Amino acid sequence: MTPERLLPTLLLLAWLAPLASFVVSAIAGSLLSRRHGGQEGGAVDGAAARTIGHVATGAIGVSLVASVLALGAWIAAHPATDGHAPAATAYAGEWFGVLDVGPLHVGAAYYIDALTVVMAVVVTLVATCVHVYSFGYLAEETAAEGLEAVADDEAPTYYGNKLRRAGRLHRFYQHLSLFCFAMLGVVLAGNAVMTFAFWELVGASSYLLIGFYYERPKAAAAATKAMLFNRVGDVGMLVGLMALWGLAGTFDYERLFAMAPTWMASHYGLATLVGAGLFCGCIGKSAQVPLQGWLPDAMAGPTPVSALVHSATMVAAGVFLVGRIYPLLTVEVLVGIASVGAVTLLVGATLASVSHDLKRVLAYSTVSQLGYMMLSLGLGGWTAGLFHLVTHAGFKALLFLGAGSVIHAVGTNDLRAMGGLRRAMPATAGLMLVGALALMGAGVPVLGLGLSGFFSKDAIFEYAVAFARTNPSYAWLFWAPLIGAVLTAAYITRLGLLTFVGQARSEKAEHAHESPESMLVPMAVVAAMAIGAGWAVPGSRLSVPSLLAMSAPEATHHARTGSAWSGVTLPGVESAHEVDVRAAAGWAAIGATLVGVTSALLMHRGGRKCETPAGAPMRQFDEHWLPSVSRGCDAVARRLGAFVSGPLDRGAIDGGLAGAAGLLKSTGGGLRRIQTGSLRQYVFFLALGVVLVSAASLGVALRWING
Amino acid sequence: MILASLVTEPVGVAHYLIVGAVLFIAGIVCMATKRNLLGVLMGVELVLNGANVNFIAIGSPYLRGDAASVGLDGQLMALFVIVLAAAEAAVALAIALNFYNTVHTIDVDAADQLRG
Repeated sequence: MTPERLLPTLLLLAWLAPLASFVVSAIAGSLLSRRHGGQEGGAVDGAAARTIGHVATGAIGVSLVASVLALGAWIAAHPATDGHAPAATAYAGEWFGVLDVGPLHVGAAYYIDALTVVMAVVVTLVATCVHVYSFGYLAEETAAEGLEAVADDEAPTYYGNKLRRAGRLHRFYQHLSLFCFAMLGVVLAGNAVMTFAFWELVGASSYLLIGFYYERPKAAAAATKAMLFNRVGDVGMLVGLMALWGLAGTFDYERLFAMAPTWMASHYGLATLVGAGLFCGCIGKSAQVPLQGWLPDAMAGPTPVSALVHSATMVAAGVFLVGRIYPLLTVEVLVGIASVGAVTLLVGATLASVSHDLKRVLAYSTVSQLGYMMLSLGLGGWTAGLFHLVTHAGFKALLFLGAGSVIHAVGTNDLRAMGGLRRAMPATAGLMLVGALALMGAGVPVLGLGLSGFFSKDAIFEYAVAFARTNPSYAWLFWAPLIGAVLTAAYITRLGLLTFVGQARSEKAEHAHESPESMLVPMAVVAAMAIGAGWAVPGSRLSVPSLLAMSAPEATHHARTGSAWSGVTLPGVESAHEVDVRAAAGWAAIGATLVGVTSALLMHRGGRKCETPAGAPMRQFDEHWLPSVSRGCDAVARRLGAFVSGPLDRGAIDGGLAGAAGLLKSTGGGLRRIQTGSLRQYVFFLALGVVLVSAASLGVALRWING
Repeated sequence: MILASLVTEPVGVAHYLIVGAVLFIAGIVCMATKRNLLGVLMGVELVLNGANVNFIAIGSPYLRGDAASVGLDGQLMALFVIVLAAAEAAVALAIALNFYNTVHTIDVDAADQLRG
């Protein structure tokens, strides 16, 4: 089969397998729970729940195989070339139509280029690992109701004792399948409407997964917060979509990309609005400043969810979307994206350095790394940013899965209650060390040897250096990632020291034990990805960045200058690949990392001191002042709501209607009185009527006779 | 002047019409003033009969002075009214009986249940 038929077929299979699993598990789960508990939401037998989990894992495995085959088909059709690939090839088309309204045509369409194929493999690979890992991590969720029920310490009950509930492993896998279906939908989408629909579905399944422990007030609040923060961004995205429709009259990516240069020349302002609006959605989804607050709270969900949804894939959807719609973005929008990314990476890295919560550190680390990706895309480093997305998916999933393994063993998130775990959990410690090294970008610049993060971070720095050279007034866009790199190395070193080095600081940490193999094996798989995702296949030029570069938008191939208003010039590929730029970037990155590691080793005295300098006020800022912004928005919204429901709705609208009704009622009440019910009075009126009619007819007759 | 000529002239249509009008007014007053339901019914009969006198007088060939005609319109109309009055009396008496059975009086002022 030709690739233009083979690729859509394989990816359709990869896309629909999780949907099938979701439908099956939803029906089976509700049937089983009804038979068991007599009501919806009753317990499902542990073995049955595991079977549902196996179905979901099998489905995502099918997706993985199909995606890998699609990647193979892509590589076979597009052999790696030397350096810069020719103009991007993409297979666009439609599986089936859904809606035809006037000029609007919406369907299940696909736009398949190298980015799509690589993303599909990354998503399904991490998802498969997380599916397998969850059998071990959520083993207790197979418990039935009764004595062996799941005891939840964090959920309050009316009597103040531990909440005991039935396990719900089947629910977990059901939501996970829904998420995979939605995420692959975003990846494959061939038009903006489909992207938006699956974008929302991803948000909904993220809500379900964050709120998995919905009895815990923290988890329920975090799920709501994530939903609301994403809504704020999505309003902007809707504005962008409307402007896009007004500008282009189509949502089809292939046609949009073809006509983008034309309307960028004619409607520059409106094109900027389109880009800015769509980027608002990415700010919400990818937790960029100022909407970063939901991601640390989303850690209230189970840790495998944090690994898959809130680090590797869903939050990366914002970055992916920026990469997808890159040809529609004007230079001003791109510089805005880079600035937001730079601020985000600094904020995230700073707050990651001070938190005492293991998962919160990793969450802020994710925020910071997403900032790096946005920065890179904004500076014109399309390939570098998306390459970092791929490598980050590997090493951050590894770090989260490792954190889950630690939490599973110690039973707490608090770094102060850990320490010395390398003796009890050598495998977890070794795997997390790999993840940490990949995150800080460890490698040797001269030899070109390193873990995956080394290559992607280097690529980002190349663009930062090249951009700062062309635009000296924007030099801070180089210094921000440099300072961020120091902080990154520092916080991940701190995390490793406090968790695995030194002495155990709590009783539970002393009695910790290694996690089961069902958790360690998936970690080893993502560890392989964290190590090797940056390498080229031996004996060829084929690598993740060379694959991505095949689909790099035309606009990234050469330097681009914005309007006279901003006067920014984005460097093209060739200026970022100059020898001296590469050398400067490489040394800057590795230097920053070394500074960070050394300072963390000194500050935390080899894991004997938990506190970071200025840690307490920073945590106060994180936990008190940042939420107060959203509390302020909440207060404003409440006031506005009170005004709308009080004076406006109840006062003006309800009052007006009630007034009109009252007028009718009083008129009717007045007219009612003449209906006395007295027969003789009616006869009197009758006679009066006769007299009046007679008099009138007499008068008419007399006038007729006389006239 | 008109009344004076009525006294002197021979009996004609006008005299009958005056009798009919008197009957009609008497019936109306009776209906409006009587509290007894049967009295009201009698008032209705008077009103109908006042109308009958008018029909007979205006329809009579002798009173109009053209004895040759055999026009019977007035008489026929009067017969209709009598039949209708009989039917109406039957229905009205049935209502009266039921009314009495319900409220134990035939005072029409007690029938004010439809008061607004």
